Amino acid sequence: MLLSQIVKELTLNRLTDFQGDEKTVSGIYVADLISLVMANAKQNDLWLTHQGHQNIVALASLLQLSCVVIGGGMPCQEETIRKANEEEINLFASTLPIYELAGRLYVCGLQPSAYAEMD
Amino acid sequence: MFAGCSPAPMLKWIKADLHVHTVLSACADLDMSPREIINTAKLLGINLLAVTDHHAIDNVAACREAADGTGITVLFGMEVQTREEVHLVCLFPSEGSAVSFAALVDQHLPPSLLSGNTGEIQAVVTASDQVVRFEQRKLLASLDLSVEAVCCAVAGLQGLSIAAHVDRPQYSLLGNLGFIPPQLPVAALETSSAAAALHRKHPSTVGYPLLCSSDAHCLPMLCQEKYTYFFVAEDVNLSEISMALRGESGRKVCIKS
Ligand SMILES: [Zn+2]
Ligand SMILES: [Zn+2]
Repeated sequence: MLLSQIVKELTLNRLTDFQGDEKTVSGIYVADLISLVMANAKQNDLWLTHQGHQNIVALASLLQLSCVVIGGGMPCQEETIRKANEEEINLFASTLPIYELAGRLYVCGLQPSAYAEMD
Repeated sequence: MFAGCSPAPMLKWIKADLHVHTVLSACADLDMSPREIINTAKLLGINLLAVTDHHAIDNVAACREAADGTGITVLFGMEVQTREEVHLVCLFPSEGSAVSFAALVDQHLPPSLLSGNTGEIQAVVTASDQVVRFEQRKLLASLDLSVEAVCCAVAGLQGLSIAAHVDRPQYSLLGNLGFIPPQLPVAALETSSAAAALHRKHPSTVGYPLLCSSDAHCLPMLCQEKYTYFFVAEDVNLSEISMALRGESGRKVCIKS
């Protein structure tokens, strides 16, 4: 699924000046513990989290994630946004609770089984 | 500071535990009183303690008083939970700097959280274990401050920040943030893992001094298999510890069983 489509469906708020909506999202990973994301997230995943710390950008870059969405209205550090612009990482925020965001993504067709088959 | 002008002090090995809770921490047993902690530390041959309650320093002075004449030095400390739910042990060179930091922490604790009737007890006590008051605010909650903000504030007060229990999956710098953020002014990492294992699993930890502390919430926890030892001046203070962590002026640190 195209990232631009997801941004529209979920009315995500873009935090960066950098715009890389043409990316595809092939899976979803939800976690706040970055060590879990390091171990489990896959390339082109959309990462849904409450974590606004700058380390999310380094990790998104390392794992080549499609984007990071900070949900639940959680704050994002200025430094995180600066780094995301620098490293060209798609970074979004939403005031919706992450359960709601995950539910909407599921309805969009990003079900675990659906992307398991795409692999 | 003016080491060049005065004769070099005699250095010796001292046994330390830089992460100990008292009855002011809701999760600590009621036997974690100043007298009991100091008596137990004395039995174990511990020379240096840091009292590190969650978001409070109110029992440190009582522990220092209880330690008076025992040869045990008690440092001002506090365990902080950052916005990212990372635990940091923060140590201060003086009561004044600890008080300044506690005031900052007060401003950044969630204001509405009261411990209420959850059965949690947070007691401020005297050196002779008398209860002065019960803390009503729920002290263990995330501050509205990032790890960077906390470490920088501590450094600004000439204190030291130590990443607490880094090998735990939660409430730790490595568990929550995956790796040590570059340029974070963190002086050491507290771990129960062997250095080689930690470095293999978390390459970002290479180069940081490692400490073994008890994070004791009850008296038996003060008795550990391994301890941190510092080779420092007998009249130990935080600047001696700081030098040991940096390996300066002949000071050093090691973990031994
Ligand atoms: Zn802790
Ligand atoms: Zn602790």
